[in-house]
Amino acid sequence: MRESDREEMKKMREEQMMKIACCFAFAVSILLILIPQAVLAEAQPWIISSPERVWAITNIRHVGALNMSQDYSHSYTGNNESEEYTHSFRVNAPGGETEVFDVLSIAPTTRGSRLWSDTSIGYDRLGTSGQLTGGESTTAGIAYSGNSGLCRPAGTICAAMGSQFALTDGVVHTSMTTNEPMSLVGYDFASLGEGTVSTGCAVYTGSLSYSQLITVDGKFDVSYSADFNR
Amino acid sequence: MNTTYRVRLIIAVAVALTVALAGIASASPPVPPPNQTALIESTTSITAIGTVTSSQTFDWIYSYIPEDTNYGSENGSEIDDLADEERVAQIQYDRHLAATKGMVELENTFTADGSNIPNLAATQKLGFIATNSTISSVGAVENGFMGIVTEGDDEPVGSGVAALCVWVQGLGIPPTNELVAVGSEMKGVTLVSAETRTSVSTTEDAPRIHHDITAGGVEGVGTYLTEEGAPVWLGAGTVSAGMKVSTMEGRNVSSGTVGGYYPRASTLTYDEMVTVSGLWNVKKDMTYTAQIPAAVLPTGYPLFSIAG
Repeated sequence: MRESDREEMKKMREEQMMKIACCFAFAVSILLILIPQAVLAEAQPWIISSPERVWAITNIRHVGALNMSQDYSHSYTGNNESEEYTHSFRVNAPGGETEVFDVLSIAPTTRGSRLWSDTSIGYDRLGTSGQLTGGESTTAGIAYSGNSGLCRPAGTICAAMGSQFALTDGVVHTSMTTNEPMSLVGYDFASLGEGTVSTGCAVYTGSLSYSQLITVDGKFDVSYSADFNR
Repeated sequence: MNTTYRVRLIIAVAVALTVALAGIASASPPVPPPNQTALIESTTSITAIGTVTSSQTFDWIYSYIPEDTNYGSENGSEIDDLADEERVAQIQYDRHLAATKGMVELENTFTADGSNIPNLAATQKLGFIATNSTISSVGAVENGFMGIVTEGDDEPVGSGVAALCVWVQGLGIPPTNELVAVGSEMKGVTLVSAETRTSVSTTEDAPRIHHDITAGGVEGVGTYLTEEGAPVWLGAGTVSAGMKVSTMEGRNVSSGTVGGYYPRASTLTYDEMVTVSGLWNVKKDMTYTAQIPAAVLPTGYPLFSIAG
């Protein structure tokens, strides 16, 4: 091989090396930009809202700092009846690994709608001094005028269920369902881990009131359920 | 090593019994529920090393007015003046617990049923062992209340098979009021295995309220006495249980004289309180049952008001 050919091949190899190096540098720079964004980006809930249904799902698995909250509300007025539902949850963690799964469903969105919410939150501080704090709540209210055909007098029913937690390690799971028209409200809470958890419910119908509140601090295994039927 | 210890028990017992009775025993009829009632059910299960607080309250007031009674805006509600032949009932219940820095096992249930008796049924099982913390202890309070007030009824309608009895047909019900409170308390308890049950029935059969508490030590922990060869483990702290009754009854049926004169035939009060401090194994049952044959012959069913 002539000297000039060797020089040309060497030059080509150097150019290829430069291209690869540039691509690699570009790829690394892109990753350096994207990865922090991925770590800090909040996954947006997937929401469907139609005249007949509201359907929202949040699903996050995240390592690092996390701060998020979601609030939903739905109301209906008509046919001598008013219905109002709200659902919210919030999570704040300075570090560690957090997993959040929240589902809200309201169908149909007219009179006599059924609400179903389900929230699962897991936390592992991964050796840090972090603590996950947050809470979730669901409220349902209905006011209706009398209906002689149903032998039903005018009335008001209000129900509120929820929880608050500060976990160093563990899981929290809650679910709430309401049936039409507020004939059944059910709430379930379960938590296993370490930290502080509170849960409870309150129901009011005018002539009847009921409330319950539970708080546990330390290492715990808690399960709680409440059903209201009318 | 099993050893029988000589135990010093410090027992303080206070019982006040007052009866002022002139005539027949006081009692109220059942109060039929409204068309639409509620069913509330809750269950709680906790195992923890740390601090547990739990609070629960319930309050229900309702009334029954016979269909042939005329009433207006001033007395048609359950909380205003009595209408002719109206019956009003109230059920109240509250339960509170604070277990601080200890080993805690807690299971409780609650059912409020406006359509079926018992209209209220609550159970609680509690286990607590204090840790080395100087403030480690548990306190718990449980209260139940049954109140019934009636204006009187000259043609009462009973419920069930017992109401068909020929010897109770056509007997009127005089005006009555019946106020009964029951409950128990644990204070500064450092070692306990306890179970409580409360039930209230007002909508049918004979109105009735019941509360019982069984409290002692945890098997294998602390001090025990030997009874008939078997160990009886002792709890530590202070436990109390009691009942208060106040009833009045009219002399005759005064139907149609709302706001008029109601001659009284009977006044009854009963007050009971037991408190035990130190090391103990306690069991106390309290039941109040109203009986008016004209309203309903007491069948005695259910014989046991709470299952489990």
